[in-house]
Amino acid sequence: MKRIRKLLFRSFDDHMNKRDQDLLKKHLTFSDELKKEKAELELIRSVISKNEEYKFKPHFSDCVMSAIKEKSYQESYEETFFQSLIGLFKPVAIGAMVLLIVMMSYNIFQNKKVSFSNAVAIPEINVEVAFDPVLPLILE
Amino acid sequence: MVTDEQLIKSCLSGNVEAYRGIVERYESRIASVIKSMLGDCPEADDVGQETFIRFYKSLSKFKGDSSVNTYLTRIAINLSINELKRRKRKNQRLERISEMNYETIPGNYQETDSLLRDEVNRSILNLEPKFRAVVTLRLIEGYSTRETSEILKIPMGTVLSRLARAQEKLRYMLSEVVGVR
Repeated sequence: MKRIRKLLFRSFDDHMNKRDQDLLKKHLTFSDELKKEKAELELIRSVISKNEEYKFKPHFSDCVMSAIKEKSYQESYEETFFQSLIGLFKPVAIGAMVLLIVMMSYNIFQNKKVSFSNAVAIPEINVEVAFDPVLPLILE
Repeated sequence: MVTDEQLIKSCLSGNVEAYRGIVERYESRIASVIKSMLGDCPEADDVGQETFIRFYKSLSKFKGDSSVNTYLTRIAINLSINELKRRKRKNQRLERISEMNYETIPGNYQETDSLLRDEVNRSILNLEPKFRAVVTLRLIEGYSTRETSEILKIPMGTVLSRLARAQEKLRYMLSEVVGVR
């Protein structure tokens, strides 16, 4: 019976093969319960299909168009802003890198010794000195 | 009559106002889809607006594989499902359903038909979103099962099984109302 009910539900929307059609037809002829169920489904479907015509609020298209124009303006403003930021980034980054290289070269040239601490002009401090509790007091 | 393709071409060439033609052409169809999914509530208009804005934004990607109607309906269904999920998250769904305005039903039906219609509408709004989507497209909007599967991007078999399941649920929910007749 479960299979027949499944066939009944599908019969409204699916193209069933001849065998299934005959099977459903056969059951519909002798089962009052199935007949009643079919009638109820037909009623539900007919009520659903006669659904009322819904509409959006008046001037819906005006609202959509003004939202689109507003968003387009906003997006074009944001795009211009980000484009200018991207445009600025490259020369600033290159300039900073050149400046850094010049400063590091100058430091190395001054100390005449190639090392990282010379390049960045930070005096080398060994571990013992770095963790010496007196050092912070001296630095102060 | 200007075709959809011509309107889209005009939009893409910078004439934003040409999009109004698309909005006015599909407004009522999309309203019907969204309001069948969400009920006649204020959020439906916002979802409608968002549907057309989303389509406008993706105009450059629109290749015409599906019709404008299919594309818009797909966006509308997806946004409606998102809205339903948002409602569910906020745990307001049941409250909203009871607050729904069912007084807009045309008066050319007899009282019993009107009652039945109310009950049917209420039951549809109680279906899970995935079932509600197939009921909206197949039974309310009258799309074929193939078109429904194309819009929802799911296999035909899934459409058919969801329809069968939805009808079973509707019949169960409406058993007292339809059983009386």
